[in-house]
Amino acid sequence: MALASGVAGPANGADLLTSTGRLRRRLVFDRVIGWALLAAFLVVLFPLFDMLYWVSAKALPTLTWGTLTQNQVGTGGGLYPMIVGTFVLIGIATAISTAIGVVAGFYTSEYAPAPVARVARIAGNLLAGVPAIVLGYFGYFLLVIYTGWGFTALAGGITLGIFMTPYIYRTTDVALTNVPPAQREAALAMGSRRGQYLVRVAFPIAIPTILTGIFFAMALGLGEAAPILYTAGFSSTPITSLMSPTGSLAVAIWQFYDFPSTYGSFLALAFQAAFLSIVIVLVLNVAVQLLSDRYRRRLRGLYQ
Amino acid sequence: MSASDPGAAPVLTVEHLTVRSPTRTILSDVSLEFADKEVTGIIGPSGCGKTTFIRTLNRMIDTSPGLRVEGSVRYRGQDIYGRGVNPVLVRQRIGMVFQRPTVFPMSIYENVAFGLRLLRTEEETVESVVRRSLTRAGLWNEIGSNLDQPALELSGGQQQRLCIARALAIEPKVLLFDEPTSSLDPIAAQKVEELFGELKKDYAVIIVTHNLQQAARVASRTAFLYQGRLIESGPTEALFERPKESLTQQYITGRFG
Ligand SMILES: Nc1ncnc2c1ncn2[C@@H]1O[C@H](COP(=O)(O)OP(=O)(O)OP(=O)(O)O)[C@@H](O)[C@H]1O
Ligand SMILES: [Mg+2]
Repeated sequence: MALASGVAGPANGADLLTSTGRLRRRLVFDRVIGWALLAAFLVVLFPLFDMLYWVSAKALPTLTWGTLTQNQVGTGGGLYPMIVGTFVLIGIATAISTAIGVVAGFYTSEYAPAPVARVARIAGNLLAGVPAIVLGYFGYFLLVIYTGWGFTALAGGITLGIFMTPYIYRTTDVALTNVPPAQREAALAMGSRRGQYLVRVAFPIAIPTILTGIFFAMALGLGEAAPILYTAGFSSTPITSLMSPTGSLAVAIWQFYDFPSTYGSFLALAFQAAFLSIVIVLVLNVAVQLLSDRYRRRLRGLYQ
Repeated sequence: MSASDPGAAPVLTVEHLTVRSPTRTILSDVSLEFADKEVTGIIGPSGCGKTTFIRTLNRMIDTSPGLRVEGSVRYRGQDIYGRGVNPVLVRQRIGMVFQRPTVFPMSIYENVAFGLRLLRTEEETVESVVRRSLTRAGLWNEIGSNLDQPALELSGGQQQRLCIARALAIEPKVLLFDEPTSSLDPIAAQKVEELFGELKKDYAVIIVTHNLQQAARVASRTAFLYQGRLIESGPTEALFERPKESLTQQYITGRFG
């Protein structure tokens, strides 16, 4: 009110600060839209929480330390071989898909002539659209039959890597393309070659987004049974070498869930595998968020 | 084009420079010389081709696809558009500072060291060059004790002077400025402007500006561009007080632009 003192207000003390008429209707409309969006958000979230509840409710009562440490024995025992197998498969797949995806993203975002880049982007999208089971058969014929390896963790990892590559490629390409053009101008004006610009300026700016892409690809890969079913095969004992078949959580869910419900403990193993998969994705998510937040903090102010 | 200081060969000689886009001619037949240790101002209304012109001087124009350059720009006698010339080396000798500050998302120190790292300079040298460059850009007293601070946290004016320090660090011979103060508040702009008097002792400085007072204050020579043509150039005082062309007269008296 200090401001208003000395300024002659309306003689009748009319209220100037409360909106009426059109403006008021608009504010009400804003609020209605806000509630509607919240409702839509909850509708989307509901199946997620329902699923989490359903899986946890079925898995937790039978989950023990042994689930994590024991081999599967008949219709019971633990999931130790599948947990290890999952980490091995995802490890191989992440290494392969990150290497290919990031290098391809570097190439199309900076070096490729426009028509080549366009074709590469379309190819990437097509690969992302290929059903996982088709990739699985591709891996089967190429890496299981043609090579004569039989079912191996390596074949599974490679096939899963091919499945994950387009997602990592696409986020890398987009992240690098979206670096503010002024950064590129400044780097080139300082006498950077394009490769130096990419490595020293663009890549550090793109890292948080690329990390998110890698996480997204890993989460998808964790949940896919199709690419590894006919490449890594299955085993209820722990993996001994990359050239031996291996079990995995995704295939465990697929296999154990498919048995008649009379095999009660089998079904329990399936739910435990599902529960563990979800936990791994959540932990991975938190880790990637923390990591990319650290990088993102340096970028504050860049996009203003 | 009257000759600059008698005896001193120009650092940059632009001859019959024409720049075309696929649809039109952006610059036509511009010829102009730039002397060492002198500030040259480039003025002209919006869209007349000032930015395009200054970007031809260090081959940054190469990064705009679709623009064709004809004519020559000679740096100490050598055509920078000549066969076998590496634009990266051109840009190391002819530095550039942009309209909006473009610091990298790194520490203050790493920003200034950026060009030296490209040249694989030894760390000892880097340290002393960073210090010297920040001092020359008038920043050492302000931020010399916070070299690890992210550069993006600096104010706009400090960021712009950091960009100048970054450009100075690799010891260019020519410095190009494209409206270096137009995104800054008046006080920050004044601090940047004050640097030009110092910089011209060591470099050939070329500055594009919208601000005629600025050109009058800092430039000893001024060139006036209009619709892609060089209308007039000469000593700043003469150009402002006794323009030879009526277009120049109209522009500096504010009748268009
Ligand atoms: N890459 C390009 N392709 C096509 N036309 C261009 C390109 N760059 C600039 N132009 C055109 O060239 C003309 C001159 O542009 P330029 O940016 O050099 O002007 P300017 O004098 O710097 O203007 P301002 O004072 O607004 O910065 C403009 O009409 C612009 O549209
Ligand atoms: Mg401009």
